[in-house]
Amino acid sequence: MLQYVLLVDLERCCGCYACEVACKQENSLAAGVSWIRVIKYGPVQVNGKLSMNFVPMRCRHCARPSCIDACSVNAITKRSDGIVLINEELCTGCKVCIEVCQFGGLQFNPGKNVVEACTMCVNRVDKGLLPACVRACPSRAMYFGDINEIIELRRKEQAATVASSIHTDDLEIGLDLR
Amino acid sequence: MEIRGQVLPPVTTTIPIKPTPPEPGVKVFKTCCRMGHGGCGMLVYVKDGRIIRIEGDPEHPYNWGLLCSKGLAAAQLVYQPDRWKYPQKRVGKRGEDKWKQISWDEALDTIAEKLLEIKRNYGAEAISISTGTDKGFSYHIPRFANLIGTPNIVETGGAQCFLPALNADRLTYGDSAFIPDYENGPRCMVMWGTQQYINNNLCFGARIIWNKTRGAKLIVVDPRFTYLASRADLWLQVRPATDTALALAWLNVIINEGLYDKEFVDKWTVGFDKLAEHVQEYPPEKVAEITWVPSEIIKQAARMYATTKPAIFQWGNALEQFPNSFDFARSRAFLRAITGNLDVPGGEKIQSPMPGVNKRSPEFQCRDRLAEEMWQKRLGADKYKFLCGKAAANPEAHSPEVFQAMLTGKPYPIKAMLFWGCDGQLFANINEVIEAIKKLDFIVVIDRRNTLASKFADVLLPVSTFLEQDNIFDYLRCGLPWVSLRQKVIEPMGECRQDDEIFFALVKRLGVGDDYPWTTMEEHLDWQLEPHGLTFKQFKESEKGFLEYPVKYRKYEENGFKTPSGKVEIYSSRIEQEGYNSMPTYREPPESPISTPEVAKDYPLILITGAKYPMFFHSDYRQLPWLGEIVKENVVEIHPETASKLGVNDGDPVFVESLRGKVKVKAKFDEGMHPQVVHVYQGWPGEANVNQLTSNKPPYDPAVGTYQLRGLLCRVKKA
Repeated sequence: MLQYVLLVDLERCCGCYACEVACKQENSLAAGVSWIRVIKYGPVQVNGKLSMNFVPMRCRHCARPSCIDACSVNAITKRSDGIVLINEELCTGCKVCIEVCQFGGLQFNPGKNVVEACTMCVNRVDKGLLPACVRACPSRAMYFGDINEIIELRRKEQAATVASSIHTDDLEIGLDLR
Repeated sequence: MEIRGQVLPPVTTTIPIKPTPPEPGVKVFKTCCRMGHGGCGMLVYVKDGRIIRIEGDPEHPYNWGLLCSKGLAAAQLVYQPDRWKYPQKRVGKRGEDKWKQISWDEALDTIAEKLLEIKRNYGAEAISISTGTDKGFSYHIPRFANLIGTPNIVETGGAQCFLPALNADRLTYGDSAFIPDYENGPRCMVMWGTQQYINNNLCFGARIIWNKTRGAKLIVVDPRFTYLASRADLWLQVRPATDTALALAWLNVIINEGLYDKEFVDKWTVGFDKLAEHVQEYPPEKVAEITWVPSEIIKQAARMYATTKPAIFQWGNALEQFPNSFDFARSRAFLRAITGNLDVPGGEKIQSPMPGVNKRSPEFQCRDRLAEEMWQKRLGADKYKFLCGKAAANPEAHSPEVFQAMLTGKPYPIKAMLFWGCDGQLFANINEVIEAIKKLDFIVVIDRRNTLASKFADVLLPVSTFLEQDNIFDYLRCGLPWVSLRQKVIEPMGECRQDDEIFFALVKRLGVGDDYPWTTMEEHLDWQLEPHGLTFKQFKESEKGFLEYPVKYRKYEENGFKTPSGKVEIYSSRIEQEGYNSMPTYREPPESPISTPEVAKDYPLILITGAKYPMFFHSDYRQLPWLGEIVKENVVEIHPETASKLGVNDGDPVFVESLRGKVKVKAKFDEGMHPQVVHVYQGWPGEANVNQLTSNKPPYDPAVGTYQLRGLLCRVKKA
């Protein structure tokens, strides 16, 4: 059964913010509202080593969404393909879901007085297009598709990376002076 | 031999990337972006005369459908509410910022009259023109200046960006591309003083990341622990502004250990023996003390670069921002050459030939029309031969001397300045520059919105954005023989005009209209496209909107290098003729703990300035809502230990002070910074403008006149 997944390869996310702007454009987001926010972590010492990463944070479309349990008006639902959606008409803006979401995925829109979150660009996905952030990501750090197909893609990609490093670059200095 | 890119975007989706299908009533235009230095293929969706969506064009080989945050936000450039829509004239006193709307005719007539009056009373040399980073029309400025007879054009960049390397590369191997051949998979990438993915070259920066995915090595030389530094195989945390010593140490290691391409060196270089002798003064152990990079790391990095093929050594803005810029650029050029990486696939591109007009040539710039006397009178001409003289790649004046002439009237007065696409806030020692500007008789600002300079101006001319312009775009900066279409997707707002058309209109009023034989942009574009065999209209109607000529490698095997000897000139007669040493040497920065220890007592921290943001372009775009909300204020990046000794916490407002002035910013803890080094970003207006700290005082780089923007001394204290 189709299960969408949206993965980010954090090795490749370079903090360019293209995903944030693509999301704003796609969803006509109000000023100050971001459904995806790239959080910069570092430079900071982690276990004695300098570390620096960018982590895009959005709704995780959890397997067992705490927000659905928390919503007293059943405004939040999860589709069979995994996408979690908020019904704006039903949302009362009570914000209890925001309290329980540990990922900061839910956003409050003060102009509309409702809670919003990443929809995995369901309107695009249902038409065979990619979510705006995935489409935009310049490093190609974002993966999207059916979860098993994406796992296979990652496996092949890593195999190619390993294979391409095997031959010519590991010559000892002194053995091949061109 | 033509190879079109092995470094393609990684495939990360099971659904292919394709353009969003337009809804009914929506027209999709193909154009190319100009939010940064531009060239990315762009699809612009327009409904009822309004831009409703922008996406990258997946078929364009420059960017394969990707756009950076700026490109995606480009529509906001058009619709920002505070955009100038009509010409304005000052009412009230200079600096009061009070304006009244006037017609284009009145504006252009006023400008022409005033400039001709100044020319009569003080000579054409009293007229100066300043411009910021290249914006696509910048090539008109030298021609315009030469035709009206003034030698005094300046850039905020110029000697602080592009010109040191442009000159050094051309003198060394005849031509230069700023972007090497990422497409064809360099196996070793040196990012020295650059974060190529973060400024305005995301399309190439992304290729660094894709290439790393394929196992390429990455060497980063940077005082800051950037994203690229964190992913690098080797990170060299160099003491700011000591980079030339480090590059010479690399040459020392590579030459002494015999790691250079002997065949290429023997056959294609002149002066290698001189270099081999010269770099004995820069052994890694000695350079480690100067640069703070351990000598073992210096050696590892030099060996990795020299023995991994092909390798690229990316140009970096940072290396053009202290007074040793020319010699660093020469050292880098030698490294590229002796490792055999020039003009090879996956290496350092040299421009492939293509038909068309070279808009940066002496002929197009009408350099022979500038009177001999004016070449001598150009401010800086007696000193900076590769900035101001006939041997310079892009002759222009030395900006500190131009501002001094405004302030003091010596050696002769400067009475007018046209700020043509120049905010003004990025000149060093900005407080002094503002005092200089206030003394001018006549100031014109040609721009989109309020800037530092516009506050003091007499006439404001509103320009259109690239989405409202017809143009063609060449990729010379990247060494690629391509031409892209740029077309209007909507008509310009209000009465905005394209910069080019303002040139065409002004020259007629200034009496040199015959030398500027175009009245409309279409005429100008048809003239440029003629060698390509089509008109602009045909280019617009073509399916691809893109012209592509073959990329050729190892051109030197047929034609040699474009130098007097036909070889790579490590020893350069042209450099010696102008009175400089052909061998690059390290010079300690003018202001530093070693050069000025008495200053260091009061200002003990080393200041670097000017790292870039992915969503801004120098002083621009903070006013666009989608971009401005990502980063809202300037900071000083400081090591937590250094900060806590000063009683400063993360996020505290602080003053950063230097001999020139002070800025007010927030402290940002950064454990990647060396405890003695702090960094403040550029491009912020008002009290956060880091140019209140930077220096425009001598000594400058002897060859190109670079002043000191980095490696300065400062102190930090709680606000």
